[in-house]
Amino acid sequence: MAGHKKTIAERGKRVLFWLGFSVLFSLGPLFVNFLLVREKHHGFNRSYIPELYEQGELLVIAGALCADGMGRLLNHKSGPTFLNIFCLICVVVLLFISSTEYGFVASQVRAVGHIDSFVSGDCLILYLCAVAAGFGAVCAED
Amino acid sequence: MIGLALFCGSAGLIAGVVKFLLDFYRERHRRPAITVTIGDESIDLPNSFTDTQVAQVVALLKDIAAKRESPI
Repeated sequence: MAGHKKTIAERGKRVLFWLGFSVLFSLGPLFVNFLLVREKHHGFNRSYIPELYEQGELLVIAGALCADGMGRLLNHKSGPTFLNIFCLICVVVLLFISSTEYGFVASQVRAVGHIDSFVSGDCLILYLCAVAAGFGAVCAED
Repeated sequence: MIGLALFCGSAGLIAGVVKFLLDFYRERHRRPAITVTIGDESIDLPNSFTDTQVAQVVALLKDIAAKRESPI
């Protein structure tokens, strides 16, 4: 029983480390942007949130989280299971979608200078999906 | 595209959590390791051994112990 407790504790620690360092600290650049936006508007409210990632930064972070998840799922100690492969496919598809979306966003940014509110909503959804799939990858990792 | 992303995100999350719970269940219901003691010495057999394999190992050790006239 002691062995099982250690394994679960190790996994819990790994998930917490992932949430802390990969998810939270990867938003560091956006935090600096938050300070700049707050300075610009002399305050901050919810309507300024899209300004934090108006150049598609969230898509880059989403891509990095998906790539991290891919690495974790491919580096399995025991043989690949159905759930591992399924999770890997989800992460790869999300990486593809976020990369493609960033391509479209980059062309819009070059033309206008920032993305519109509709696309910024999509960026946020994609980022949350990448976090969810990345969380699944960390849980499924051996 | 967003629909596919939502599907992949939720499916990946569910797959990962299910895998975690399955591993947790297997770990919890794993048979404990078997320890065979001969005199003062003991040996741990892996818990992956089947009952037949354990019986074979114990029989072999009993044989060896009988030859050495050591209690098992």
